[in-house]
Amino acid sequence: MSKFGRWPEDVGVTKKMGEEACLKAIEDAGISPKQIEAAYVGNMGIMAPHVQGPLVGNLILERVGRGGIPVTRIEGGCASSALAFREAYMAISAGFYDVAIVLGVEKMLVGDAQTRLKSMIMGSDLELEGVMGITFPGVFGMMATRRMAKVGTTREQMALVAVKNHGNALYNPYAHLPMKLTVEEVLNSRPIAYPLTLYECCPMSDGAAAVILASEDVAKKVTDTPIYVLASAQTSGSLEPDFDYIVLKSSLIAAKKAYEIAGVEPKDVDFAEVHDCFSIAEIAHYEELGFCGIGEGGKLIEEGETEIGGRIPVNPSGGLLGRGHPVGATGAAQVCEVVWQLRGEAGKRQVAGAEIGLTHTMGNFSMGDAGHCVVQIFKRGD
Amino acid sequence: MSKRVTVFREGIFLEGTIEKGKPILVGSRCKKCGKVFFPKRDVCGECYGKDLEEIPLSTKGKLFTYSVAYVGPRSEVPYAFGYIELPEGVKIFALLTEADPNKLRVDMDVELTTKVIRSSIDGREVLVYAFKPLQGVGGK
Repeated sequence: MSKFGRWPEDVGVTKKMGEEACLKAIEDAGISPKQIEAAYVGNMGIMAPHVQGPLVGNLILERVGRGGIPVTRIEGGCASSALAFREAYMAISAGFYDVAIVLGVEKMLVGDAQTRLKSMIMGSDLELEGVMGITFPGVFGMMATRRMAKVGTTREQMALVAVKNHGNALYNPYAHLPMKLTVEEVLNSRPIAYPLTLYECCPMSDGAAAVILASEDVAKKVTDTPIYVLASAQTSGSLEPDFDYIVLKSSLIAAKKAYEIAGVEPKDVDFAEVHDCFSIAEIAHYEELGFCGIGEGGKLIEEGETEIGGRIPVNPSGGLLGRGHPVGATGAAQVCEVVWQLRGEAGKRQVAGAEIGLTHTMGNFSMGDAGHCVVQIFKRGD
Repeated sequence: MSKRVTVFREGIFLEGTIEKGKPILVGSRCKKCGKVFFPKRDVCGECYGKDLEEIPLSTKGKLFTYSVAYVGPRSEVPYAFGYIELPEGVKIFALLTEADPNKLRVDMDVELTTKVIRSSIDGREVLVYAFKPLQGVGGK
């Protein structure tokens, strides 16, 4: 990974961040760049043409000595590199390649906030929602409003998510917004989209993350600590008016599929990296992923169950709120965290004895559901 | 309606209803399975039926949920939006005329109206549909 945060406003900065992430991943995996047969690059290109979007993967691969191999750039909004990971996983599973690299990269901090929000609405239905000025904080503000009215989720419970995730980020050297906060500070921060406040909204960040995937045969030759992918499930929101806005259907179905494929149950998961783009989203994800019943997510955070050391730690990395959210890079960054945790290399934020980890990533949004949702389950090799 | 203002999308309002000051939204109903869509469609996304009829949608509905943007791609913040549930079973994303969250409630009755805004995409002045609360919110 590169550091998440603010990188210089430079048209070529995505190449620089991506190169750093790729070189670190190659070194960490103990392979030669010449072994990489294909690259899958998650990049929304949110601030293109002010920064390199199209062709960014090819330019980076060329810089790390692997020009010429198939490079596929994938756009799936905030889930871009989760989709990229899944494509690489399927290609290796199908026997096309033995080694592939997954890269997620995004430069978002360009211009002022209004310009960036204008770019972000590309991830909505422009004709019906974008034109009227929908915002992503508003999309989840609407979830918070509905949940407060229907299942009794409280503002304090939402604020606790922000306290936990910004706090976990204190122990993550790659994080954009490590902060020690109180519930009062969260609730009294600047309003962004009713009822959500500033610290409950993930930052727009710059950054890159990369992962090497290999077939089991190759992985066993290069490492004593392989991490296995047990399942990678992807769904799309129906974008029809059948949503309840309590939980997201795309997440519910992706989670169910992933558990079935992996042959594990929610109680077997030791920790999860989930898409906490806003405080309320994490509470809904607890329920979608089966860590508690529908409507009980608020209680789960209140009882401290999702803290490091709790029954099911969620976002030990700091999540999108604390680590930051360079949209195209987030899916790959979640996998990096899972790998470090499962190898026992996560330092002060280590989840003790973690053997099974889960990632949950969403991208784009319309009509009360995510455009894309990916749930993946990983296991430490024996 | 000023000539420089354009309705943000064709086929949204029942013809002539804006001019009369009584806007009505138009949707489609599948003649085969009965599913209602907004905006209009040519093919039913439920049963793949291709025989759909235009229907006027109810002008009154319930506020399913809402939020107020204090920061956004449009300059005239704060502005409120939400999903409106109509009796036909469709939910519509729409602007709200009331931007004070204390005056909004989930499930309150709302009524269709229109609003001229500066589009967040290209800055043009456009006429969009919006909903206004039908009753005040008591207490609190």
